[in-house]
Amino acid sequence: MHRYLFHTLVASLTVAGVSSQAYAVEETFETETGAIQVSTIASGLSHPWAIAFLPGMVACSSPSAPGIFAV
Amino acid sequence: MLVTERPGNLRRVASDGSVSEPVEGVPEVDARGQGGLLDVALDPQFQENRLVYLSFAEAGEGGNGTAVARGRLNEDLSALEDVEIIFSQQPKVQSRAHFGSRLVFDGEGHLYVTLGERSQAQFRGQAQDLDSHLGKIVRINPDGSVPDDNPFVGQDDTLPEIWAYGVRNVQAAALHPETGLLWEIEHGPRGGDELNIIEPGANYGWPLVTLGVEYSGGTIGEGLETAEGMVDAIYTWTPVIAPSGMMFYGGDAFEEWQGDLFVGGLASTALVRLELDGDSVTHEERLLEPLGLRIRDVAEGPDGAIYVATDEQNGGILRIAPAD
Repeated sequence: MHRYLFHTLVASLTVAGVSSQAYAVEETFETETGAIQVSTIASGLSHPWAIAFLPGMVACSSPSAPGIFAV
Repeated sequence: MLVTERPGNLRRVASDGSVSEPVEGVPEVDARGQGGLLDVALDPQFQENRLVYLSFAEAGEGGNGTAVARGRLNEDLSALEDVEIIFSQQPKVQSRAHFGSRLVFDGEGHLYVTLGERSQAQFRGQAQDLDSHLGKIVRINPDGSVPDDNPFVGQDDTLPEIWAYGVRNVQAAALHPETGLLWEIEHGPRGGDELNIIEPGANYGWPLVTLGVEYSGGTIGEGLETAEGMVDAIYTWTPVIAPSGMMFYGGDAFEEWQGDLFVGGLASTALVRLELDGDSVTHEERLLEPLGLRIRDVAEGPDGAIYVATDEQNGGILRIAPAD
Protein backbone atom coordinates (compact mmCIF):
# COMPACT_ATOMS: atom_id res chain seq x y z
CA MET A 1 0.00 0.00 0.00
CA HIS A 2 1.00 3.55 -0.51
CA ARG A 3 2.19 5.50 2.47
CA TYR A 4 1.28 9.07 3.06
CA LEU A 5 4.41 11.00 3.90
CA PHE A 6 2.90 14.40 3.51
CA HIS A 7 -0.55 15.60 4.23
CA THR A 8 -2.76 16.68 1.43
CA LEU A 9 -3.28 20.37 1.57
CA VAL A 10 -6.84 21.38 1.09
CA ALA A 11 -7.54 24.90 0.03
CA SER A 12 -11.05 26.22 0.16
CA LEU A 13 -12.18 28.49 -2.59
CA THR A 14 -15.30 30.54 -2.63
CA VAL A 15 -16.55 31.20 -6.12
CA ALA A 16 -19.73 33.16 -6.70
CA GLY A 17 -20.85 32.42 -3.18
CA VAL A 18 -20.54 28.68 -3.62
CA SER A 19 -17.98 27.03 -1.44
CA SER A 20 -15.90 24.45 -3.19
CA GLN A 21 -12.60 22.77 -2.62
CA ALA A 22 -9.52 22.51 -4.75
CA TYR A 23 -6.96 20.00 -3.65
CA ALA A 24 -3.33 20.91 -3.75
CA VAL A 25 -1.60 17.57 -3.58
CA GLU A 26 1.96 17.41 -2.33
CA GLU A 27 2.63 13.82 -1.38
CA THR A 28 5.18 11.08 -1.65
CA PHE A 29 4.05 7.56 -2.47
CA GLU A 30 5.96 4.34 -2.39
CA THR A 31 5.73 2.30 -5.57
CA GLU A 32 7.12 -1.08 -6.57
CA THR A 33 10.12 0.65 -8.12
CA GLY A 34 10.76 3.51 -5.72
CA ALA A 35 9.21 6.60 -4.22
CA ILE A 36 7.43 9.18 -6.35
CA GLN A 37 6.56 12.77 -5.60
CA VAL A 38 3.09 13.87 -6.69
CA SER A 39 2.48 17.60 -6.89
CA THR A 40 -0.44 19.69 -8.04
CA ILE A 41 0.83 22.20 -10.55
CA ALA A 42 -2.53 23.69 -11.49
CA SER A 43 -6.02 23.53 -10.06
CA GLY A 44 -9.38 25.13 -10.58
CA LEU A 45 -9.82 23.55 -14.00
CA SER A 46 -13.34 22.43 -14.91
CA HIS A 47 -13.24 18.76 -15.92
CA PRO A 48 -9.94 18.89 -17.79
CA TRP A 49 -10.06 16.24 -20.51
CA ALA A 50 -6.73 16.41 -22.29
CA ILE A 51 -3.30 17.96 -22.07
CA ALA A 52 -0.77 18.70 -24.80
CA PHE A 53 2.70 20.11 -24.32
CA LEU A 54 3.71 23.01 -26.46
CA PRO A 55 7.22 22.55 -27.83
CA GLY A 56 10.24 24.64 -27.21
CA MET A 57 9.83 25.08 -23.49
CA VAL A 58 12.71 25.26 -21.08
CA ALA A 59 13.05 22.77 -18.26
CA CYS A 60 12.73 24.30 -14.83
CA SER A 61 13.81 22.49 -11.68
CA SER A 62 12.68 25.09 -9.18
CA PRO A 63 10.52 23.50 -6.47
CA SER A 64 8.20 26.45 -6.66
CA ALA A 65 7.80 26.05 -10.42
CA PRO A 66 8.45 22.43 -11.30
CA GLY A 67 8.31 21.20 -14.83
CA ILE A 68 8.64 23.08 -18.06
CA PHE A 69 6.13 24.73 -20.38
CA ALA A 70 7.08 28.25 -19.43
CA VAL A 71 4.09 29.77 -21.21
CA MET B 1 0.77 23.20 -21.96
CA LEU B 2 -2.63 23.32 -23.54
CA VAL B 3 -5.52 21.89 -21.54
CA THR B 4 -9.08 21.25 -22.68
CA GLU B 5 -11.95 21.66 -20.26
CA ARG B 6 -14.97 19.57 -21.15
CA PRO B 7 -17.46 22.46 -20.75
CA GLY B 8 -15.83 24.06 -23.78
CA ASN B 9 -12.69 26.01 -22.97
CA LEU B 10 -9.12 25.54 -24.12
CA ARG B 11 -6.57 27.07 -21.74
CA ARG B 12 -2.84 27.35 -21.26
CA VAL B 13 -1.26 26.23 -18.03
CA ALA B 14 2.13 27.70 -17.21
CA SER B 15 4.87 26.22 -15.08
CA ASP B 16 3.98 28.52 -12.20
CA GLY B 17 0.51 26.97 -12.15
CA SER B 18 -1.20 29.95 -13.64
CA VAL B 19 -4.17 29.22 -15.86
CA SER B 20 -4.87 31.48 -18.82
CA GLU B 21 -8.12 32.95 -19.98
CA PRO B 22 -9.83 30.73 -22.56
CA VAL B 23 -8.11 30.56 -25.92
CA GLU B 24 -10.46 32.16 -28.43
CA GLY B 25 -11.71 30.48 -31.56
CA VAL B 26 -12.76 27.13 -30.10
CA PRO B 27 -15.90 25.78 -31.81
CA GLU B 28 -19.16 25.65 -29.93
CA VAL B 29 -19.48 22.29 -28.21
CA ASP B 30 -22.42 20.23 -26.97
CA ALA B 31 -21.36 19.97 -23.35
CA ARG B 32 -24.02 17.65 -22.02
CA GLY B 33 -23.43 14.30 -20.41
CA GLN B 34 -20.07 12.99 -21.56
CA GLY B 35 -19.91 15.52 -24.36
CA GLY B 36 -18.03 18.76 -24.67
CA LEU B 37 -14.53 19.80 -25.61
CA LEU B 38 -12.48 16.64 -25.56
CA ASP B 39 -9.00 15.92 -26.92
CA VAL B 40 -6.30 18.30 -28.07
CA ALA B 41 -3.30 17.42 -30.25
CA LEU B 42 -0.58 19.42 -31.93
CA ASP B 43 0.30 18.95 -35.57
CA PRO B 44 3.57 16.99 -35.98
CA GLN B 45 4.88 20.12 -37.75
CA PHE B 46 3.45 22.45 -35.14
CA GLN B 47 6.58 24.54 -34.89
CA GLU B 48 6.25 25.38 -38.57
CA ASN B 49 2.48 25.52 -39.05
CA ARG B 50 1.15 26.09 -35.47
CA LEU B 51 -1.87 23.87 -36.16
CA VAL B 52 -3.86 22.57 -33.18
CA TYR B 53 -6.51 19.83 -33.45
CA LEU B 54 -9.50 19.54 -31.15
CA SER B 55 -12.11 16.82 -30.84
CA PHE B 56 -15.49 17.73 -29.46
CA ALA B 57 -19.17 16.87 -29.28
CA GLU B 58 -20.88 18.66 -32.14
CA ALA B 59 -24.61 19.36 -32.24
CA GLY B 60 -26.35 19.03 -35.57
CA GLU B 61 -29.24 17.57 -37.48
CA GLY B 62 -30.39 14.42 -35.78
CA GLY B 63 -28.62 15.03 -32.48
CA ASN B 64 -24.88 15.18 -31.97
CA GLY B 65 -21.67 13.39 -32.70
CA THR B 66 -17.92 13.67 -32.46
CA ALA B 67 -16.15 16.17 -34.66
CA VAL B 68 -12.60 17.38 -35.18
CA ALA B 69 -11.58 20.97 -35.73
CA ARG B 70 -8.22 22.46 -36.43
CA GLY B 71 -6.95 25.99 -36.19
CA ARG B 72 -3.75 27.97 -36.16
CA LEU B 73 -2.55 29.08 -32.74
CA ASN B 74 -1.61 32.73 -32.97
CA GLU B 75 1.73 34.11 -31.86
CA ASP B 76 0.67 35.20 -28.41
CA LEU B 77 -1.16 31.90 -27.85
CA SER B 78 -4.45 33.67 -27.19
CA ALA B 79 -6.55 32.43 -30.11
CA LEU B 80 -7.06 29.78 -32.74
CA GLU B 81 -7.39 31.33 -36.19
CA ASP B 82 -8.69 29.98 -39.49
CA VAL B 83 -10.60 27.29 -37.59
CA GLU B 84 -12.22 24.64 -39.77
CA ILE B 85 -14.07 21.41 -39.12
CA ILE B 86 -12.08 18.62 -40.76
CA PHE B 87 -14.20 15.66 -39.66
CA SER B 88 -17.79 15.19 -38.53
CA GLN B 89 -19.09 11.81 -37.37
CA GLN B 90 -22.17 10.52 -39.19
CA PRO B 91 -24.88 9.80 -38.42
CA LYS B 92 -25.66 12.19 -35.62
CA VAL B 93 -27.87 10.60 -32.97
CA GLN B 94 -29.68 11.52 -29.78
CA SER B 95 -27.24 10.55 -27.07
CA ARG B 96 -25.10 12.21 -24.43
CA ALA B 97 -22.66 9.33 -24.16
CA HIS B 98 -19.75 7.57 -25.86
CA PHE B 99 -18.08 10.19 -28.01
CA GLY B 100 -14.62 8.63 -27.90
CA SER B 101 -12.46 10.58 -28.81
CA ARG B 102 -8.69 10.58 -28.90
CA LEU B 103 -6.52 12.13 -31.58
CA VAL B 104 -3.26 10.40 -32.50
CA PHE B 105 -0.90 11.11 -35.39
CA ASP B 106 0.48 7.97 -36.97
CA GLY B 107 4.06 9.00 -37.68
CA GLU B 108 3.36 9.49 -41.39
CA GLY B 109 1.24 12.58 -40.97
CA HIS B 110 -2.16 10.87 -40.83
CA LEU B 111 -4.52 11.45 -37.95
CA TYR B 112 -6.40 8.69 -36.12
CA VAL B 113 -9.67 9.65 -34.47
CA THR B 114 -11.44 7.22 -32.14
CA LEU B 115 -15.22 7.38 -32.36
CA GLY B 116 -17.71 6.05 -29.85
CA GLU B 117 -20.77 3.98 -30.74
CA ARG B 118 -22.98 6.41 -28.81
CA SER B 119 -24.01 3.82 -26.24
CA GLN B 120 -27.68 3.18 -26.78
CA ALA B 121 -28.87 -0.23 -27.94
CA GLN B 122 -30.85 1.10 -30.91
CA PHE B 123 -27.71 2.35 -32.68
CA ARG B 124 -24.65 0.88 -31.00
CA GLY B 125 -24.85 -2.08 -33.39
CA GLN B 126 -23.69 0.28 -36.12
CA ALA B 127 -20.21 -0.39 -34.74
CA GLN B 128 -20.35 -3.39 -37.11
CA ASP B 129 -21.61 -1.39 -40.12
CA LEU B 130 -19.04 0.03 -42.51
CA ASP B 131 -21.43 2.72 -43.75
CA SER B 132 -21.57 4.38 -40.31
CA HIS B 133 -18.94 6.19 -38.24
CA LEU B 134 -20.34 4.87 -34.97
CA GLY B 135 -17.93 2.60 -33.10
CA LYS B 136 -15.00 3.20 -35.43
CA ILE B 137 -11.44 4.34 -35.59
CA VAL B 138 -10.90 6.53 -38.62
CA ARG B 139 -7.67 7.64 -40.26
CA ILE B 140 -7.65 10.93 -42.13
CA ASN B 141 -5.22 13.42 -43.55
CA PRO B 142 -4.73 16.58 -41.50
CA ASP B 143 -7.07 18.46 -43.84
CA GLY B 144 -9.79 15.83 -43.40
CA SER B 145 -9.32 14.10 -46.73
CA VAL B 146 -8.97 10.34 -46.95
CA PRO B 147 -5.55 8.67 -47.38
CA ASP B 148 -5.41 6.49 -50.49
CA ASP B 149 -4.07 3.50 -48.56
CA ASN B 150 -6.90 3.22 -46.04
CA PRO B 151 -8.18 -0.38 -45.94
CA PHE B 152 -11.70 0.22 -47.26
CA VAL B 153 -10.94 2.77 -49.96
CA GLY B 154 -12.78 1.95 -53.17
CA GLN B 155 -15.23 -0.53 -51.66
CA ASP B 156 -18.94 -0.06 -52.16
CA ASP B 157 -21.15 1.09 -49.31
CA THR B 158 -18.28 1.79 -46.97
CA LEU B 159 -16.90 4.98 -45.53
CA PRO B 160 -13.29 5.22 -46.69
CA GLU B 161 -12.14 6.99 -43.53
CA ILE B 162 -12.61 3.80 -41.54
CA TRP B 163 -9.38 2.23 -40.30
CA ALA B 164 -10.85 -0.30 -37.85
CA TYR B 165 -14.30 -1.11 -36.48
CA GLY B 166 -16.30 -2.82 -33.78
CA VAL B 167 -15.08 -0.59 -30.96
CA ARG B 168 -17.22 0.73 -28.14
CA ASN B 169 -15.93 3.91 -26.52
CA VAL B 170 -12.23 4.52 -26.98
CA GLN B 171 -10.97 7.28 -24.70
CA ALA B 172 -7.35 6.14 -24.66
CA ALA B 173 -5.04 5.71 -27.65
CA ALA B 174 -1.36 6.04 -28.43
CA LEU B 175 1.16 4.97 -31.02
CA HIS B 176 3.47 2.17 -29.96
CA PRO B 177 6.94 3.70 -30.06
CA GLU B 178 8.63 0.68 -31.67
CA THR B 179 6.01 -0.96 -33.88
CA GLY B 180 4.27 2.24 -34.93
CA LEU B 181 0.92 0.52 -34.49
CA LEU B 182 -1.99 2.22 -32.81
CA TRP B 183 -2.88 0.80 -29.40
CA GLU B 184 -6.18 1.74 -27.81
CA ILE B 185 -8.03 1.08 -24.60
CA GLU B 186 -11.80 1.17 -24.55
CA HIS B 187 -14.44 1.26 -21.90
CA GLY B 188 -16.24 -2.01 -21.46
CA PRO B 189 -19.84 -1.99 -20.29
CA ARG B 190 -20.11 -3.71 -16.89
CA GLY B 191 -16.77 -5.45 -17.05
CA GLY B 192 -14.57 -5.95 -20.05
CA ASP B 193 -12.40 -2.86 -20.49
CA GLU B 194 -10.11 -3.79 -23.39
CA LEU B 195 -6.56 -3.08 -24.50
CA ASN B 196 -6.39 -3.63 -28.26
CA ILE B 197 -3.68 -3.42 -30.88
CA ILE B 198 -5.26 -1.90 -33.95
CA GLU B 199 -4.63 -3.48 -37.33
CA PRO B 200 -6.01 -1.83 -40.46
CA GLY B 201 -9.39 -3.14 -41.48
CA ALA B 202 -9.79 -5.30 -38.40
CA ASN B 203 -13.00 -5.90 -36.45
CA TYR B 204 -12.79 -5.69 -32.64
CA GLY B 205 -16.14 -7.29 -32.06
CA TRP B 206 -18.38 -4.83 -30.22
CA PRO B 207 -21.27 -5.38 -29.57
CA LEU B 208 -21.15 -9.00 -30.73
CA VAL B 209 -18.13 -9.94 -28.65
CA THR B 210 -17.37 -8.62 -25.16
CA LEU B 211 -16.21 -9.81 -21.79
CA GLY B 212 -18.69 -7.47 -20.14
CA VAL B 213 -22.41 -7.54 -19.52
CA GLU B 214 -25.12 -4.88 -19.65
CA TYR B 215 -25.18 -2.39 -16.78
CA SER B 216 -28.38 -4.17 -15.76
CA GLY B 217 -26.48 -7.43 -15.60
CA GLY B 218 -28.03 -8.94 -18.71
CA THR B 219 -26.13 -10.68 -21.46
CA ILE B 220 -25.05 -8.56 -24.42
CA GLY B 221 -26.08 -10.17 -27.69
CA GLU B 222 -25.34 -13.86 -27.57
CA GLY B 223 -22.75 -13.38 -24.88
CA LEU B 224 -19.82 -14.27 -27.09
CA GLU B 225 -16.36 -13.78 -25.60
CA THR B 226 -14.54 -14.46 -28.86
CA ALA B 227 -15.51 -15.03 -32.47
CA GLU B 228 -13.91 -15.96 -35.76
CA GLY B 229 -12.85 -12.93 -37.75
CA MET B 230 -12.86 -10.63 -34.74
CA VAL B 231 -9.73 -9.61 -32.91
CA ASP B 232 -9.48 -10.33 -29.20
CA ALA B 233 -8.11 -7.83 -26.73
CA ILE B 234 -4.58 -8.46 -25.46
CA TYR B 235 -5.56 -7.46 -21.92
CA THR B 236 -8.83 -6.78 -20.14
CA TRP B 237 -10.15 -5.45 -16.84
CA THR B 238 -13.14 -6.76 -14.90
CA PRO B 239 -14.23 -4.93 -12.85
CA VAL B 240 -13.57 -1.99 -15.08
CA ILE B 241 -10.97 0.70 -14.44
CA ALA B 242 -12.82 3.12 -16.74
CA PRO B 243 -9.81 3.94 -18.90
CA SER B 244 -9.14 7.40 -20.29
CA GLY B 245 -5.81 8.58 -21.62
CA MET B 246 -2.73 6.48 -22.20
CA MET B 247 0.96 6.98 -22.83
CA PHE B 248 3.99 4.83 -23.56
CA TYR B 249 6.68 6.12 -21.26
CA GLY B 250 10.08 6.81 -22.79
CA GLY B 251 11.60 9.41 -20.53
CA ASP B 252 14.76 9.48 -18.47
CA ALA B 253 13.25 10.44 -15.11
CA PHE B 254 11.99 6.92 -14.42
CA GLU B 255 14.46 4.52 -15.98
CA GLU B 256 12.68 1.45 -14.64
CA TRP B 257 9.45 2.57 -16.29
CA GLN B 258 10.84 3.01 -19.78
CA GLY B 259 8.66 1.09 -22.22
CA ASP B 260 5.79 0.81 -19.75
CA LEU B 261 2.27 1.77 -20.70
CA PHE B 262 0.42 4.20 -18.41
CA VAL B 263 -3.36 4.41 -18.42
CA GLY B 264 -5.66 6.88 -16.71
CA GLY B 265 -8.49 5.39 -14.68
CA LEU B 266 -11.71 7.23 -13.88
CA ALA B 267 -13.77 4.88 -11.71
CA SER B 268 -10.59 3.25 -10.45
CA THR B 269 -9.11 6.64 -9.50
CA ALA B 270 -5.78 5.17 -10.53
CA LEU B 271 -2.90 5.74 -12.83
CA VAL B 272 -2.37 2.21 -14.09
CA ARG B 273 1.16 1.13 -14.99
CA LEU B 274 1.49 -1.87 -17.30
CA GLU B 275 4.75 -3.68 -17.96
CA LEU B 276 4.95 -5.10 -21.46
CA ASP B 277 6.79 -7.88 -23.21
CA GLY B 278 6.14 -7.32 -26.88
CA ASP B 279 2.39 -7.61 -27.34
CA SER B 280 1.77 -9.03 -23.87
CA VAL B 281 1.08 -7.34 -20.55
CA THR B 282 3.26 -8.98 -17.93
CA HIS B 283 2.49 -6.92 -14.83
CA GLU B 284 0.10 -4.25 -13.54
CA GLU B 285 0.57 -1.70 -10.78
CA ARG B 286 -1.94 0.95 -9.73
CA LEU B 287 -0.63 4.34 -8.68
CA LEU B 288 -2.33 7.35 -7.06
CA GLU B 289 -5.41 5.36 -6.00
CA PRO B 290 -5.48 6.79 -2.44
CA LEU B 291 -5.97 10.30 -3.82
CA GLY B 292 -9.43 9.28 -5.01
CA LEU B 293 -9.17 11.45 -8.13
CA ARG B 294 -10.55 10.47 -11.53
CA ILE B 295 -7.58 10.33 -13.90
CA ARG B 296 -8.72 11.59 -17.31
CA ASP B 297 -5.50 11.94 -19.25
CA VAL B 298 -1.80 11.16 -18.91
CA ALA B 299 1.18 12.58 -20.76
CA GLU B 300 4.95 12.54 -20.56
CA GLY B 301 6.47 15.96 -20.13
CA PRO B 302 9.62 17.16 -21.85
CA ASP B 303 11.30 16.85 -18.45
CA GLY B 304 10.49 13.13 -18.26
CA ALA B 305 7.98 13.65 -15.47
CA ILE B 306 4.47 12.23 -15.87
CA TYR B 307 1.53 14.60 -15.91
CA VAL B 308 -2.11 13.69 -15.35
CA ALA B 309 -5.36 15.61 -15.60
CA THR B 310 -7.95 14.98 -12.90
CA ASP B 311 -11.56 14.95 -14.06
CA GLU B 312 -13.25 16.92 -11.32
CA GLN B 313 -15.37 20.04 -11.13
CA ASN B 314 -12.29 21.60 -9.58
CA GLY B 315 -9.87 19.48 -11.51
CA GLY B 316 -6.19 19.99 -11.95
CA ILE B 317 -2.89 18.87 -13.33
CA LEU B 318 -0.61 16.69 -11.25
CA ARG B 319 3.10 16.19 -11.86
CA ILE B 320 4.71 12.88 -10.92
CA ALA B 321 8.47 12.78 -10.52
CA PRO B 322 10.95 10.63 -8.62
CA ALA B 323 11.07 11.56 -4.94
CA ASP B 324 14.48 12.75 -3.90
